[in-house]
Amino acid sequence: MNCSHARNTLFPTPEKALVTIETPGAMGHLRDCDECQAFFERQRGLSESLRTKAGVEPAPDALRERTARLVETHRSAALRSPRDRKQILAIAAGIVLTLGLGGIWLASRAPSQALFQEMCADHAKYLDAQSQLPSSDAAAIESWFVDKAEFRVHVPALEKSDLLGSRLCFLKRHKAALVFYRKSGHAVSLFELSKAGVSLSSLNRTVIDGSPIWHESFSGYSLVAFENRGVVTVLVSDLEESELLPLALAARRG
Amino acid sequence: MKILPFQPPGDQHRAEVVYRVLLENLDALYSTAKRLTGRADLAEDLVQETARKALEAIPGLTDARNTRAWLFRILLNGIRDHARRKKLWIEVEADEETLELSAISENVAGATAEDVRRALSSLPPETRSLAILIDIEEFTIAEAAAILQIPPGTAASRLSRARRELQDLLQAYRSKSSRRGGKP
Repeated sequence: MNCSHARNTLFPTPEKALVTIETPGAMGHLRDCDECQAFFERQRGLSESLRTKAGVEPAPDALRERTARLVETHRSAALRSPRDRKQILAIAAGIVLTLGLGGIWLASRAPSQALFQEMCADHAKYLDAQSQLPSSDAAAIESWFVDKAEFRVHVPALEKSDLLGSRLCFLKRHKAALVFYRKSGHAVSLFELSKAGVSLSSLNRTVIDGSPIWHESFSGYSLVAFENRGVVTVLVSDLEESELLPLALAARRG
Repeated sequence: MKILPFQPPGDQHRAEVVYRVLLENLDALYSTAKRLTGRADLAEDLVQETARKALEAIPGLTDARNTRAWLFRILLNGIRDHARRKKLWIEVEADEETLELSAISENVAGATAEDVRRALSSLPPETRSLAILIDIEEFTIAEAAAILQIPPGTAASRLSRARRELQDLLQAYRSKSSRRGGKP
């Protein structure tokens, strides 16, 4: 076998080439041919340079979370075969009896508590407001969310605050519209999400202007929340609760 | 009560392999989609659609050994369908191509990352896909041919052409930049 034939047979490199009846002959030629060995070394080098220089672009967080949720939903559905379903029902009945009403009450609070902590973590992660839509135009942000959220997203004007942009995020299986503001150098995140599955009762409750408002501190961040027409709005910031509250009230007034 | 040892059913085991490989390769799938479409939003949609189709197709998956290549095949099918609708991907007859090997220059090794990405995005999709699958994602000729549903010989000749065109483009960028740099 000559060099040209061996190179064609083993292209692009012996490890990636198609295995055919001619492969053993070409490999035999390669063992004894310094020029062909150098040829494939250059091919490997080219491949390596391309791979290194082209780099990898990380998938956006939103895509990662959507895919993880898709997998989780699929896995749960797959596990729910008819026989499994009977077992699950039997186990669930046992759990309900064992836990009693007090346990159920605690269990209902826990996921929401985790959700609010996740919001504070998300706020801390995006302190520099990495928006999917950088914009100071409230109407543009509202229309950007039209086909992304299941509810109408409202972007309120917050007193002495700059509107920076928005992103769609997934927090503990809840899809949330996140709007970034900056007030006196402090980042303020405003989350809006559907009320379904969200319990505000794990937070401290205060009635202002005849309507309840919920507040709490997590890891040094203040959180103030209210509910209106099936949508829960949560503001998170490192501002004091007393400074964040007027912003929440302004947002509630619309 | 008799406790039976846990044995994952075949379907569930295959499903777990797909879940793991899908989540591990999300960056690679997204990068590939973005390199082939040039658009982040479209790449996101195409990867999401790939995930959905892959999960739906698990019951029909008989061999989970090369799940990575299977996921890329679903993705590339989606990209090609989209590109055909937009008339961005024109199929070249597979049997018209022959393998022509050319010498490797220093153009790629000496190029900047930005130039390499620009050159890659300038290639026609049918050759760009081969450079991405084989050089960047490290598939073999046989795997890349199966992903793109073309004969292995065609995959080899298109890869060779992609490398040649890339080197030519990088050479052109270098000449242009040295001409600019040479001016006072």
